[in-house]
Amino acid sequence: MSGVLDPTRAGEALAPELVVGVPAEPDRLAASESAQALQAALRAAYPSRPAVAVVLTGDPRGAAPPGDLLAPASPEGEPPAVYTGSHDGLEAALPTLLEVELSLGAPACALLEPMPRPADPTWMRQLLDPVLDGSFDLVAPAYARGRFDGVLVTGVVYPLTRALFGQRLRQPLGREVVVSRALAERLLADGAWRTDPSSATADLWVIAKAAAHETRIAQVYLGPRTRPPPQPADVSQAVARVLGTVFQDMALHAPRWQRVRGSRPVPTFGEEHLPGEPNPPPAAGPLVSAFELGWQDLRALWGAVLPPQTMLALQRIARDPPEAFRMPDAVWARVVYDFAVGWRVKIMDREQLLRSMTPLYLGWVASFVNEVGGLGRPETEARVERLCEAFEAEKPYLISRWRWPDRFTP
Amino acid sequence: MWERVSQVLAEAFGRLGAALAADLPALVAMVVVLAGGVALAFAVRAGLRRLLARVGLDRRAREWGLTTGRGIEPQHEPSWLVARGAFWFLVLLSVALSLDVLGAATTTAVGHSLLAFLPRLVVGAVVLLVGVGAARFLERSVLIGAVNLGIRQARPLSLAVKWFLLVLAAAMALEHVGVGGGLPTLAFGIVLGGLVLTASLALGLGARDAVSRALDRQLPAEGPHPTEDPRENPRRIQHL
Repeated sequence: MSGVLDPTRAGEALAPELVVGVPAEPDRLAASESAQALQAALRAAYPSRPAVAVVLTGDPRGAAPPGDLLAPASPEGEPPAVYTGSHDGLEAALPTLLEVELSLGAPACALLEPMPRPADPTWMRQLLDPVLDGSFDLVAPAYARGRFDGVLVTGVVYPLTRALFGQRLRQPLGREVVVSRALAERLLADGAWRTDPSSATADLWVIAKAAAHETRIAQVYLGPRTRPPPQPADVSQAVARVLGTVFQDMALHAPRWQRVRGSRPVPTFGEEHLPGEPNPPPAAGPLVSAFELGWQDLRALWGAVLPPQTMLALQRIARDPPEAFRMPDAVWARVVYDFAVGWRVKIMDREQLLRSMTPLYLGWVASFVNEVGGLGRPETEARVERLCEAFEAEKPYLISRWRWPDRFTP
Repeated sequence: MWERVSQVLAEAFGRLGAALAADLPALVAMVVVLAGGVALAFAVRAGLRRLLARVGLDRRAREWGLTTGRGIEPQHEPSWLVARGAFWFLVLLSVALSLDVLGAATTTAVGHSLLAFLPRLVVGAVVLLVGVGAARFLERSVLIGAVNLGIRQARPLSLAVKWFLLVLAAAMALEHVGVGGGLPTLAFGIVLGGLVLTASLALGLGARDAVSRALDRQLPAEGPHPTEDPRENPRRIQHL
């Protein structure tokens, strides 16, 4: 393994117990500065434990030559080491981190995004302790966000992954994870790194892999997110990318999730710091217009994916005025499930299929805005809980369609 | 007199017999070539059907938008159509060969011209088929993209793209087959030029204000639109 890894500077701590990695791409300087700050936080959080914060890159052409400092030395210490893994591309940070963890023999490692962190190192202990004390193999950080932040996760990814794998992980798409050594060994032994590297480096891959194999998972709330995740240029791009990843993991773990019934809470640490006053809700009108336009022009395409009863329900919804626009949870759950089946059987080009779902998704967002616009955060979470229960209740429908897609073909 | 009639008839039958004796081998060869070609066509059709089913042509055609995948009779699936096309191509080929085998000057010329025409016909059909596939795929792409961009005229736009590609493919196929000489190319050029001119005039005369507003929105120096309601801003929702 050491032949693969190429640190530009010798590690500061021999046999560290903790390795925290920051992806070098897309901003190497920010990554380097963030790693320096994380190193300081590690020293403050674990003064007696050897720990190292490194910058991770998967592109050998992008690695700084040895001795070339990425950031000027700061009072907190020297610039961090840069490790180049054996995987190419922008998404190579995770496999590189796992390689580093195994080669250095660290019992725990964490992949964190470069962003400003609280000065108090308590958050670091909250995040790493569950894995360090051996209680869990995977910890997923979660952040307190507004009601209308991450709505694609709220409306599709969270209910779907929860219904599939039975684990109530609120933010399963996070690019940050804390992984134990045992799980790192298992993940690196997976053949997907070689056979399908694009899916293996996708956001949901590790979470789905862990959830499908009875891994001990926990989630830790780290307070408000200081920097929002990068948003795609248009909604359909986000829908296609995220749902493509989720559906791919569905296909990958189909034998497993078909045996799962219901869901159970995931051990949660930290306090979910909710934003104070709710912001005024966005207008539902443009979202309803997007849905109506989709109903007008994409109805024929949807008819190839959705059964007649769902099309009938959508037809009724399309007649509602914007302020009364509601999409029933059961209908939305079936729409998502039907598109998953359509993706699986390749009823049309997959990219087109996923992008054609955008107006339906915007329709659900309009319904969500109308329903929770005047509610506080606890009531909003209760509403999301009801949505998740609907996804779980409709799971037998998904299983039937998944197993016998032709029988239900409209 | 009857002797003379008998003699003439005998001579006529003699000549007919001689002619038959001379041409019979060629006729038999023609029938053999024709029968062999038809038998080969049946075998190729059956083999192609199995091969195309194995490689999943019907599924791929559904993905590419060539078919809808709904309510299609098995004999109308693309794999059947390709197999049937190959069958008729081989039948025509065997007819051309059999005419050539017959050896008569007229039939040989017909056979030769048929043999020369068939490859062009096949390539023309392939060009048309690929064009139809590309047209339907791009029609769907444009339709979905336009709807997601909120364009009200998404359907006419996608139909325009589809028909443009269909006409282009048809013109290319006819040009390759050699039907109509340079007429398809000329007609296509005239139609395309007319469409571009019409669109330019429509944009310049009818939608000048809309273009001006669109350019204004793109200019970086411009601030937010004065009448824009911040609550209408869809960026208030973070999807990820």
